[in-house]
Amino acid sequence: MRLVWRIGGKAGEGINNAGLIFAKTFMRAGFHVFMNTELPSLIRGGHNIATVRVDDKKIACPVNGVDILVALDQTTADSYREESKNIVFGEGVKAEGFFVPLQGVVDEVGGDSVMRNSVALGFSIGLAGLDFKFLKNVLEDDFKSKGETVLGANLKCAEKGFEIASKLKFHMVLEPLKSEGKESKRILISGNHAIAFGSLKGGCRFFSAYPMTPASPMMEYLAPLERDLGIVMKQVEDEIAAVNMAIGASYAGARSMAFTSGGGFSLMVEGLGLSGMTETPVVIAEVQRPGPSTGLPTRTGQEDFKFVLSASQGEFPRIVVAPGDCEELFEESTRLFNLVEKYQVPGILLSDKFLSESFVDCAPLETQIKNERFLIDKTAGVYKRYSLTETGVSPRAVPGSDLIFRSTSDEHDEEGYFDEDAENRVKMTEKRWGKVKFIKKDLKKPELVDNGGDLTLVGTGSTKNVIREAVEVLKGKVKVNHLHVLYLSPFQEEVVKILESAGTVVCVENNYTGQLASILRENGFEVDYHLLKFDGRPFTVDEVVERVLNLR
Amino acid sequence: MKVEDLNTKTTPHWCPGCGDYGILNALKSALVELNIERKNTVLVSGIGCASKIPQWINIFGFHTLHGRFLPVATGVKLANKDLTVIAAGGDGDSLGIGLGHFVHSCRRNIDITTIIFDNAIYGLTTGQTSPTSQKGFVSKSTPFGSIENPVNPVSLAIASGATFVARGFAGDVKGLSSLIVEGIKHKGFSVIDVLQPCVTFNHVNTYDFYSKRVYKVDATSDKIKAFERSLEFGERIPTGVFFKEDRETLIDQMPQLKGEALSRRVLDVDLKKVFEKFV
Repeated sequence: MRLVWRIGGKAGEGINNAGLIFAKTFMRAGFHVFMNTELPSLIRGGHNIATVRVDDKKIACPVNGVDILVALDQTTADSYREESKNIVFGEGVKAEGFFVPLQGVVDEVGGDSVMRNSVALGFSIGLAGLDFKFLKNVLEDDFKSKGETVLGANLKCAEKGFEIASKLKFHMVLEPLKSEGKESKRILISGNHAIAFGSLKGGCRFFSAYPMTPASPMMEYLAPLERDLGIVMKQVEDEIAAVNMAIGASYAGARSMAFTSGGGFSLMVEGLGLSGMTETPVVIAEVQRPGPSTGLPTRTGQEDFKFVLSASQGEFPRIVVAPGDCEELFEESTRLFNLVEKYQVPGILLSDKFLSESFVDCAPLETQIKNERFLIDKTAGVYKRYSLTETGVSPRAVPGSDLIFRSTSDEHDEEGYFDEDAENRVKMTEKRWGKVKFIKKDLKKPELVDNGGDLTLVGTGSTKNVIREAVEVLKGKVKVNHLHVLYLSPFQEEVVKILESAGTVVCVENNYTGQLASILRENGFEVDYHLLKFDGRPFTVDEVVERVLNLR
Repeated sequence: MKVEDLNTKTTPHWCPGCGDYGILNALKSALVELNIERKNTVLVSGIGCASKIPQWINIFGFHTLHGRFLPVATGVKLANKDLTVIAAGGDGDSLGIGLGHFVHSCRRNIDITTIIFDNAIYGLTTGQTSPTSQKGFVSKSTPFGSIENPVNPVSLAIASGATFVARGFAGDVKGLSSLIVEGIKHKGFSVIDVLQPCVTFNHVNTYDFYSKRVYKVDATSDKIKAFERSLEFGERIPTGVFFKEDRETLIDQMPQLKGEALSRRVLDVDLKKVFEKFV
């Protein structure tokens, strides 16, 4: 660990933005960065924090402890005093550490009080020993659009803050950070960005959604791209409309996605079944937050695994993928759009608040997955939209072609006419389910990170990187393996095979009931220990390490 | 194209005498009159007696979920603006479970024609009161008479921003057919409320009931006048086009949909430029 910097204050004080500026500054200086935020579900006031990790290796999860804490208010100073090595604070805050006249500098410059952030940023950069030019550069890009006056004032604030730090005789306990000097071409994005970009990469041209935290930032990321990329990002009246509009767009031949959180997904459940029954592909991104009901709107959790697996009346195959970081979100979004079109099934992309709203530096996202269309516009003889085939996949046409057909949410025959005949029902059910074994062939195989230990941590979704880093930290004391379960449906038998020869298995997940463990049990594997967390916050590396050591 | 070309291999299983037959016939003759291209025409319906209609008309058909046909139809149109999209649902579909979508579709002014098969009763579930049942209506679910005021689909459509609002009668196939022709030709969201007798479960709103009451109004683009007219529903029931105006459709205001339909565009996009903002 090189540096952990945290800034905290009231909602509306620009905490998130300050965190992003700090992260981007270090990213441009050649470091790897990770930022996560904690905020209450309040419009203004309350208490927000943004925590940035800076490291020379790739990181994507939180740790305990803070090297520099910027306390814009008393709550921040009091809440994190214990875990912070150095506290930076301004007027009106009582703490021990570095008093910096944040407001004083702002007044001197003649700026707005939100510019206290810029003073604190400048000071922090100075304290951490980074060249000021990197911060200057980021501020210039960030405030360019707000006009010369705002930019100038922010730059002056930051410079003053930096100067104050430079004059200190203090040597930080941290090893000084020296930029590696190489101008980085990496990008700073969140999980929500990765889903949006991965979907675009996978050919998605139609997005529909109703605002719901923590999925709604995707609206804000996609809408400005509408005209340049020729896509539709439609805000609609509710999540019911969102999923059904996406299904309509897909029926007409456009790749489409609806995105939401658990509450909105509840409303999409009937539409999910429509997609299943009519074999109209659609992707739903479900960015989990802790429930039930409104729950903790701005916190994180992994409580919807079993819900998305069994949502809807009746039975039909679906693909459920739970990526663990931005690179995986991007690639699996792309893959999912191709899979749902190839197999004509609904696909659910699972994320959560922690994964979707945390920012990391990535190489510009790329994937080897090639987009392919699976549509026909000609056929010999009578066109049967739901013809029985070996793979269960029937040739699909869309309106505009001569292959006129009808789809119905009722059980139907091969041509899409109502059919309640028992024999037909059996054939159609078997046809739909027959796709599963072929879908499995197109999924990435699970791989054990094998450190030769007799203990294995298993997780899915956003726990990927915290487990991975914990396993690294544990190396000196105990050898631990890691299995990241990427697909919850169709379930890959290889997962159980790997776990059967993986020694003692500990299931790590962000819920109370151990849903992943339950899914594993359903598929024939019983884990030995549960490592659960359900307080609405993500695991930290230290927490996983400590709890693993206490198991032994 | 002839009417027979629109037949499918199955025949409707509505009750003999159902008003839905009149609407199906009117729709078919309207499509013939318009000489539509079958391959570019899509009928999207919800769930209920009326919504089974895509099974019996040989154009693209999507029989979806109860109340959700308008969002589905909107998705179809946005994905391929070159298609003629017709939506169909009953009064429960359109004004009960789907009422929210109805209002939003009106304000969106998406170029879709929606036909309300309005029989003032839930027929497929064997006779419960509906959102358009008149106050006092006795049904299986309201043995003491409905105690809620009905929704007036015509007033609601005008108030919500639909740009073509009409009422037809299933007993007047010719008149209804010309309303459908006009509705489809109109650029924008067209609402056609069709008085449709349910011969099995609704013994109040019969062919005779409507025949004695319906009269024709002339189209106006004066919204207040149209709204005033729409409020009449009792001894006399106005039919015909109540309101018609030219207003930009949803798609007219989406420059990203100019040119090739969304559904036909290449899948690959270049994200290089997008990523530049995140460096």
